[in-house]
Amino acid sequence: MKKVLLVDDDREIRLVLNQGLSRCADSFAVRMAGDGIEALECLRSQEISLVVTDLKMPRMDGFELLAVIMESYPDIPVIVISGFSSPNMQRLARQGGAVAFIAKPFPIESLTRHIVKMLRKQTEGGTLHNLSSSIFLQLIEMEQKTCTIRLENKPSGNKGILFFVQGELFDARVGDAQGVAAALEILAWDQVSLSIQNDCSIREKRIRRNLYSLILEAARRQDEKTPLPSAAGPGSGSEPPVPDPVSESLLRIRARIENELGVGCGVEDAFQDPVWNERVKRISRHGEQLKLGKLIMAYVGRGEPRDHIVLPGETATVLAVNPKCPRGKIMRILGG
Amino acid sequence: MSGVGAMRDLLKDLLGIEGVKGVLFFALSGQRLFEEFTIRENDPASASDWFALAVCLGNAHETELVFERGRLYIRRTAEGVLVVVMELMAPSEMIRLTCDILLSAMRGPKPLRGIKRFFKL
Repeated sequence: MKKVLLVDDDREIRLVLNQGLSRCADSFAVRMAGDGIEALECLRSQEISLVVTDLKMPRMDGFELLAVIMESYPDIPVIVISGFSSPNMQRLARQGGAVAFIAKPFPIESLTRHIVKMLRKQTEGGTLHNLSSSIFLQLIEMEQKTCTIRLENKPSGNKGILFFVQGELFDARVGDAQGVAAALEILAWDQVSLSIQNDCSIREKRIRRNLYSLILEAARRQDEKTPLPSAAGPGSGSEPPVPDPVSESLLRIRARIENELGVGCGVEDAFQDPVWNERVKRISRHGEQLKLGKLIMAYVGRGEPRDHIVLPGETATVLAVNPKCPRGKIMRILGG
Repeated sequence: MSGVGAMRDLLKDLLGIEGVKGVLFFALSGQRLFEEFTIRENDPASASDWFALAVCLGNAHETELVFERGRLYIRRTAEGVLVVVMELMAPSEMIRLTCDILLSAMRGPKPLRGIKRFFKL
């Protein structure tokens, strides 16, 4: 259920509006705050979809609140309601990022219409359920879409937002976290529901890394978190094996590919091989000279029975694959 | 290979594929035989920079490199080194297939052996 935060220092107005908006209780729930400070506490602790705020309030007024929302919660639309409705005030509110300005007094229906319109806009591009975010987001990039994507991780219920401008990931938000940290958290979610808004209020690019390297890093982080099944069965009485992070990580990379493509997908071995380190460094250096940026992955065929997919790292990770393997699919799973 | 003109036509086919930004073909000596880009950078890399990358791949006969801002597909054959510069989301399977076809066409027909020299079987 979407939540609308109503911010006004006048208790009576809050009560009247709350009562009026309760007719839409099947579409959204109303939360209330008496000033900007209370509103920010509410934004930190709850998933708010839209804010309706007065301008003149004690402690933190509506303009200040608007500025904080634009900076920290840019995906949340703000509707301003105010008794001071001079053209100058309206212009300032619009410039500050408000999506609508409603002069007091106003009929409740007018506010309801604005709220419903803005909430619908958040899902105008469609809603999808139970999918892996990484493949879908690559499509967004490929189609060079400008959009705001709201995601919910089904297992945890966590919510996050990604902002794309012409296919480039500009920013992300999960709670108070923004930028790369938020993007990495979202990209590690592998069972999400998402809704698409066909525009993006963000203009400042907070994320400088490309989507593929972020997907790859998120997958690695996720792999590191996932516990492997214990080699010793329960009650075997033997000492628990000392985990070897490198082999665990390699097993997980392989398992991830085989989960998606099946065991016969052609990945025959996964190992770390320092022999590749120097070559990977040189390729990366050439890539930067050629303005292609850092190397993310290499597929190398030497006409031998096995080709190699190499992932740079402190020590290069190498997947030995059958030359007839679905190379493109494997590379896409690995983030390339 | 029927001539330089035919080689150019074959390589230009690659440039027509969506997502392909440029194609270079070098003799194994490093001499640039073909270079064409659909999009010209302001400060383009020199042919020798591209060849230097191909050299650092050693004896690999087929390499696909994914960088932060683009992909490269590199094929080393007896005729030379082919470098295809692609966007990140270029259809790499189609590009590989096209390279197979054009490299095979550049090699020309294999000399026939045995009875095939005299009869069409």
